[in-house]
Amino acid sequence: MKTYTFLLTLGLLLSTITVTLAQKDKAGEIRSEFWGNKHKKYTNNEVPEKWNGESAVILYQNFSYEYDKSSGKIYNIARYHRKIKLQDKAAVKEYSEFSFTETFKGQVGYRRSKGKTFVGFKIIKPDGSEKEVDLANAAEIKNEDGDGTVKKLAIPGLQEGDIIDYYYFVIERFKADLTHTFQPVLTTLSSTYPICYQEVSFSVEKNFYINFRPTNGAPDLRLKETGKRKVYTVKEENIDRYEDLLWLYKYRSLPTIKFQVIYNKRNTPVPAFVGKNGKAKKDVSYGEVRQLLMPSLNSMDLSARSTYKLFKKYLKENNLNGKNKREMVELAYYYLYHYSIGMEIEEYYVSDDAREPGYNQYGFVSTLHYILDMYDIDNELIVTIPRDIAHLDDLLLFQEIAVMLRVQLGEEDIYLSNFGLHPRFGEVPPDYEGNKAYVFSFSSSGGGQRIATLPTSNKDDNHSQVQVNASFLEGDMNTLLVETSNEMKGHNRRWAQNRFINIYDFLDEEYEQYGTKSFVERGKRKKSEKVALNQKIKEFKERLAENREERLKANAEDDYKAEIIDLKNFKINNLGRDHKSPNFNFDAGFEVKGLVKKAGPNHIIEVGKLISSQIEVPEEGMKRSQDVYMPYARSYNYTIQLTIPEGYKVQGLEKLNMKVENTTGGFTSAARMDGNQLIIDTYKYYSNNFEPAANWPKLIEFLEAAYKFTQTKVLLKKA
Amino acid sequence: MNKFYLSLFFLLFLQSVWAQRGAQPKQEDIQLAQQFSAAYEDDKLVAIKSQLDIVFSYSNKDKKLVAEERKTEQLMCIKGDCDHYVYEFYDDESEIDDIEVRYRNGKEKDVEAQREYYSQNGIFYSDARVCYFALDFPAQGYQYTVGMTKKYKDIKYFTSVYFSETYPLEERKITFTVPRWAKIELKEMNFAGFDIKKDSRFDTKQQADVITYTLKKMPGLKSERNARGPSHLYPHVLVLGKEYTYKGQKVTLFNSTDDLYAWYRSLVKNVDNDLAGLQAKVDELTAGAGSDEEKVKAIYYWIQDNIRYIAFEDGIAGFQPEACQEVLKNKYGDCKGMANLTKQMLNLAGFDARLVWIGTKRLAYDYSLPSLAVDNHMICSVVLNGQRYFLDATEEFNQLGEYAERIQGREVLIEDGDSFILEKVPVSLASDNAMVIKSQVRIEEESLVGKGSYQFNGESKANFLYNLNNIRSSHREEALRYYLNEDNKSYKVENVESSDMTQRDGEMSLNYDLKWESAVSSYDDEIYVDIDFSKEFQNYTFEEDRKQDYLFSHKIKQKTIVELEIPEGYQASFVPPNLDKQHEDFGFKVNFEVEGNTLRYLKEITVHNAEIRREHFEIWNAYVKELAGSYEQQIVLKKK
Repeated sequence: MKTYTFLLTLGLLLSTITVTLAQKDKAGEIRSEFWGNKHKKYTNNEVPEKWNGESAVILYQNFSYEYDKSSGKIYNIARYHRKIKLQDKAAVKEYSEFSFTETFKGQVGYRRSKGKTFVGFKIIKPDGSEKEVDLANAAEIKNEDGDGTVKKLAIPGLQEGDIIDYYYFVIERFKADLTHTFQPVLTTLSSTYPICYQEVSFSVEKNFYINFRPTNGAPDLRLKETGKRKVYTVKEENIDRYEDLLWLYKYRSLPTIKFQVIYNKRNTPVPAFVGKNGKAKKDVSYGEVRQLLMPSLNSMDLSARSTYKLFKKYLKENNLNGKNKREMVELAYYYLYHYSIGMEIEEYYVSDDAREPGYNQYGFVSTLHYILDMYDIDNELIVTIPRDIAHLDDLLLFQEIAVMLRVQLGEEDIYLSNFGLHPRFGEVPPDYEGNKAYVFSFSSSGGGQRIATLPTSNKDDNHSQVQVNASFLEGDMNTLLVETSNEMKGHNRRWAQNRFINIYDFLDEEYEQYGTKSFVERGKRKKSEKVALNQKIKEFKERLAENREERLKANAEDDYKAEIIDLKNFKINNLGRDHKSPNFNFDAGFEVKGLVKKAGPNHIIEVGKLISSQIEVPEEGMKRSQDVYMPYARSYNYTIQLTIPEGYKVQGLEKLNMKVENTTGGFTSAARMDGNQLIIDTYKYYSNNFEPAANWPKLIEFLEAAYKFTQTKVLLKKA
Repeated sequence: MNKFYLSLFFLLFLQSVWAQRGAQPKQEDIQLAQQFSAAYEDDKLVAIKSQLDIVFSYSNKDKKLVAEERKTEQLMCIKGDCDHYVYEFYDDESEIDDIEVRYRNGKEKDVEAQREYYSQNGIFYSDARVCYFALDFPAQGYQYTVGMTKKYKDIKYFTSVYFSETYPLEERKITFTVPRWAKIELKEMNFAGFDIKKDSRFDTKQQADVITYTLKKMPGLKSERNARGPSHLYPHVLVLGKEYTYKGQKVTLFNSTDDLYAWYRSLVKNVDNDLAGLQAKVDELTAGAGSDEEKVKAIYYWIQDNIRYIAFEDGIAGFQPEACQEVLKNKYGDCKGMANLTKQMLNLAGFDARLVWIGTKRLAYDYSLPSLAVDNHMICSVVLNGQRYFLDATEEFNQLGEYAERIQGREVLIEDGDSFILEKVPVSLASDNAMVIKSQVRIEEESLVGKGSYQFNGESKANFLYNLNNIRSSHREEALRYYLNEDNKSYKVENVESSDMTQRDGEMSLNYDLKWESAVSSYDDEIYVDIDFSKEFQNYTFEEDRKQDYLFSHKIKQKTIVELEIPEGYQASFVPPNLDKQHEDFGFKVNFEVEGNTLRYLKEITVHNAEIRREHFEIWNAYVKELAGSYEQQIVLKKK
């Protein structure tokens, strides 16, 4: 027994030694690989003069990804190498501490993975002397139960003017069978610091496929073959820092690359567009989209079938059979919403372990398609890409795709897209409006390319009509009672619905309409459980009501830039959740302090603020070289009616008359007196959802006018 | 599946069902929960009964006086349901053991406690860890009894026992069992206003004094922003382990501050300072310095600029400074390392510099208490021209002779060989931090146009410089503009000129051209002017339910002066009334003056002691309302 223990211990010890030695070798090898980089862009320590005022400048950075498969395992190595000059205190602070997971266990799909990180840090002083950081000083975070070890390192000797040169080498390995699709990447080339030189590369062996596409002027890949391996590289120099701007879709305006790596043996179907071995795939054809999507959407779906049966039962029980085609599509669409979301949403919020309800877009499309087919209603698949991601011509990744169904009803095309909490029959989401789209028929597998341009809503479709009645509180000339009644059309209703409607505003009605029950009533539960759940629901309802009040208050504070003393008379007149009664209509009142200034016996009222706060373009935003991507064309009409207290006369009406209009939009306002009522009408509109950068000055014209209006005051002069 | 396994599985399953069933709250529990729910509106959980037993003993293994703290609590969910995390902190000098959770019916519940590194904001690395597990209370009235033991391996590091928790305690008993052979003093802090009863008895069997505190209806800890540190607020006892005689062997712990200092001194003596590498740097820094003061500044400011503050709190390293050469080489250190480097460099330059232990304002203690809980910071002192200065290099932009609010007036323990000196850090006046905002403006159409300036002193300067220097240089110009116009588009700022933004000494200033576009409204023969742009403290009132005093980061003296040129042909027909509200702790003053064609607006806001006491909230709120009333008024200029 003793001998056995001894042998075992020795064995363990030996294996530990071997492992440690191997590790050291590996670390040394990696270290020499990075520090021995002979690339002339890497050895450069000089910052171009134009970037002297920058906080930090990236002199060199290289991201490279390597993929291998051997003995049933995939090895994925990521190398990050960056050399950055720190030119001020803020940059020194940012780069003075690092952390890394020395060893880790992860999850790749449903497979467990294991990995290691090797790091190295070097400081280059302004005189060119170099000092490597001793990693022995890294502090290990003591996670007694954690998977893996995390280390933290404070960089010693770091000062303003130094260059920090560092690398992360991350190796992860996991089992894979025939195929594995790696997470796709979509990124702009620029960063928050300017970059002198950067490289992104992929190195793969057989059976690994690469998708890569540069957009907006980003450079393309170059291929180099070394033995069995293929190395694809993209290089770029001299990249300015990027700033976030209003209405900027960075993937549409700035040089961007997207890529994905797929391991695939024997042409196994994967959720990705796979190119040819040995050649990076750059584009995706109409046919490829059909080939990827249609078979799975068309395949017989058990869950779609059971949903169809429930729907059929619902129609029968409610005597809804025999409706016309349009009514059937509507019934199916809203039923699907209720079945997947409406019925489940309360449980999701209240219960601890409920899954997020609803379909993903493919589940939605395939289920609705199945049901419509059962009623012989023709429907087609529409494929596009959300506007902020890419143009359809730049399609490369499965993850970019957005799908809808289209049904032709007489002359009209009805678009049906996956819903959130507030479904809308026939509405094209703003992200897809005006986009190029592919159209596919479910029934025929061949045929030529069919392209559509999705409809675009106009400024009148997306309109807000706000009536504002303002008066002084009795005996208090400092506080205004502001009562608003709001009617929001089209996409304008969306944000307001999401902010101000809570689920109990509609759930009971929905249960009744569909003959369903709340989740508490549905399931078999003991009495005590029911009591506990009902108590929970009661608290949740209270919380929702409180949250709504807080949101209304915060919203009003932001709108009027003033103190909100009290909320009054919030009332929803129409939820706008049904396309037959589509507008969201609500009333809300506020006691507002801070809009009235005293001046002896007279009062000045910041009446312009009652049209709610307007976009303020800052000084540095006046010039713009990027195109303007707005959510949608839209318009706002405010009618303000201010009751003038007895004994006062209004002066300064003329300042409230404005008119600025051009092709991009406009702002107009007109004021008049009607008895003791000061009446102001304002109208602001954006003609399009997109303007080229050259039109920015035109947008500025009316944005500035609207802002100026908010700064306008009238005088109430004591008679 | 094997039959045996199947039955085992079945058995386990049944047991857990039974355990659950007996765990459901009884009718009387629900009623009790409802009562608590009404009494503790904002809480979800109450400890109906809580017991904390602290026993001191001698560890033969470690040859040390040690302590064990057993906590047993009966927790009840008083609202519909709640998830509650039971957690306890520990570190290298303590451990957590014997965790036990039981259902109402006494059946044991399996819990898997997680033990993790506890990362705190602003601390790079510490040995602090947290042991925690989640408890799900599915219904109102649901209960668990939770027990755990915390063992302190060395009584030196067991400094205090806080009486309250984050949830209300309906009743808690805390017992301290102190053997007669040990001298341990329990110093009671912040007991006033709480229902705490004390009882002592001698336990002959254990030959120990048993001191019992019984608490009733102790509210849950509620943290409020800008409040004092916990040691000022919550009832607790400081555990002062003084000495013990075990088996004839007498061991002195911290019997007096002399002993505390002796221990600190022993740690400092063990620091392996190597001065050889420092001399060259000291010579380089002091080479151009003409006077002693310049030499001290050269060294102090260089350390502020070049040594980054990184907090380490790791076992003994939490008390012992790092060697000076290491801090110099690393260009980072914690407060002790930075203080040590400052001291050694100043010594080399020929000054009498010493290490100084200090508890910041956050702590409620002074050096009359011999305990490690008394201090939390280290600085350096230097004698210059016969006067003692304190140097805190962790304050990046403090000028020599100026002190951060957090250390002002605090007692310090200054090293003096084998003995020590107790002194206090000087206290500054609000006027030492004066910030003056001045503008000279004229009316152009509907705007006020002219020149503006800011002057900063003392801590208003140090804070401004710190914030500005932490912004990326590429964004600094924009940030300055935003600072001046408060992100208000109608206030245009141009040509900003500043004094040297890396300079700590003297006054700091900003000068700029301004155009405030919405300040003026003209109607017929009258012009209405809004004179004050910033309207500081306009809505700065305290909510009625705030329980704790409010602390500002520093004493405030803020002056706003606007000189408005009255247009030719106009005269001031209305100026708002002056305001002068002064309290011993704060004051607001607004003054309008017309002299020739100049209207002069002067506003002065003072907070003398950087704090507003709760008993003064009402008067503060009333003053602020009057100030806001003044802000709401406009000046009227009328055509002559």
